[in-house]
Amino acid sequence: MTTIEQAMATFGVTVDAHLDRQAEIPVLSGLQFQGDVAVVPVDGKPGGSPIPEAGVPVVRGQAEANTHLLVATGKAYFAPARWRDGIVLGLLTVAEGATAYLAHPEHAFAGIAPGTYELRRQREQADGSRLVAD
Amino acid sequence: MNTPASAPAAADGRRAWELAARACYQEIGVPFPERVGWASSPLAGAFAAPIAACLATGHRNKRVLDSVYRAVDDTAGEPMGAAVRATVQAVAGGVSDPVHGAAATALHTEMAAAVRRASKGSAGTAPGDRHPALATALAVLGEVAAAVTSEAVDAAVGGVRQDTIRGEIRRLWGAHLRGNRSDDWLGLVGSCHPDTTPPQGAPPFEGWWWWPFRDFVVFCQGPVELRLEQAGDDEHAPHRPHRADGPAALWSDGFALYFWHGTPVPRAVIDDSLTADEILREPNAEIRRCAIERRGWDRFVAEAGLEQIGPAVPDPGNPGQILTLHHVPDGVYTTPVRVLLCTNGTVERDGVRRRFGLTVPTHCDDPIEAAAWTYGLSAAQYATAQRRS
Repeated sequence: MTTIEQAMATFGVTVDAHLDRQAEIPVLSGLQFQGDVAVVPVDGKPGGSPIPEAGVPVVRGQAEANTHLLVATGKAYFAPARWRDGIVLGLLTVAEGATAYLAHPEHAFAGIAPGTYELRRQREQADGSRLVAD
Repeated sequence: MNTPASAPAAADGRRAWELAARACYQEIGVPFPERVGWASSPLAGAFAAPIAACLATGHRNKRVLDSVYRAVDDTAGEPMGAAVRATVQAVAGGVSDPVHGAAATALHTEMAAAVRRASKGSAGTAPGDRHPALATALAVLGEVAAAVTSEAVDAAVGGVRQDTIRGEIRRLWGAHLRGNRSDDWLGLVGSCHPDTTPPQGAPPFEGWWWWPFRDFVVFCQGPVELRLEQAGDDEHAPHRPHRADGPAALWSDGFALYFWHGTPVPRAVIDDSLTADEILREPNAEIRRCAIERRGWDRFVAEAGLEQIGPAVPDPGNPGQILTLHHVPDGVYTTPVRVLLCTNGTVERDGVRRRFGLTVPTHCDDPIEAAAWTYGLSAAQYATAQRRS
């Protein structure tokens, strides 16, 4: 399994220094959360564009500091949602033998096993529903 | 984002404002006055310009003048009083010239049209155009500064006691060139700026309102400190004033404006000094919401004793952490809500996990259902969560 330190070297994303860099990153095929982003397994039709080496910023943090960056080793695809302001961010497909990761400076890495997933953003009921920024 | 004023940039900016004003004086065929004053804040200018005008028109009643200064000291604080006296001194000095002064205040109405005419010939771009993402923030700042100044002017000179100076302050405040935050005026200032792109880190504006007279002109300085944040994820998202630990806009004489993520709020909201009861009784819904967010829902729920709905349950995928759902009294938000208290999946730098509240619809009856709603999931789906990081 990959450690945070190894993932940092592979993807060039630095996580906060107080997090244990020797910790292994669980690679999961079930529902998981990284702060205000959910990785939801779905029976969707795979599709989308290959995730580039630089990754896909699925949620940009303020001043680039707290971006949730989607990266992968092996073949993985992402199709962003047509509506940018909705709860659904897009569809992620991780091919057999590949692993995708959500990288975030404060939340480190979330490992995603082969499968198809919807990435979603957390919302709140305010005066009108709104999206959460963590 | 913090933009402290740098001295050379401020000097260039002042020249631009002065040149723009000169062009307007020229339009109406009045020589640019020798005496130019820079008030330290919108409030200092709102008091100083009319007081100086009264002195220039021959007002000699020292008792009235002293009582107005005292009213400023008492309502706006002594530092503001000192700033007002300094500006009056700079433009009125000891001189009083009733002959010239009598025509002085007429310049306001003529000047509004002069700004439009003078700007037509200029190819300048307004500071807001040079920084499109900042334009919204500047407009908000201008409106709020006007509202806060209005209130402070009213507090100082709006009482039953009336005299020439008090009357002139109220009259001139109404007549200050409000339109000079307009595109025409800012375009004119922009065209007078020696460099169309101000140095990095310089505030996007160096001046504010101005008060033109025949004998003198008072300009108002811009804020010395301005904290903005970007309103969204997009790099082109507009900026808005925000600061959680002090004023978002601060002028050199202490005049300050407080904002929570773009919403103007009283200082007590940012200082976090209101009681839970005071927050609940706050009549303005926006301010109430900001006060709760500033305090944090976890503290507010405890302090206000908000009733728990359903059991406290373990957060699936977040070992050792608990979710609770709480009733929120009607009218706290315009939309009825409940609040879900949750805990982050990752520890913070200080070794603790951040606790926070998320508002959810009132049809959510237990914490899992509420947490599921925040991601658009069913309660059964949310219960299968394997990990939260």
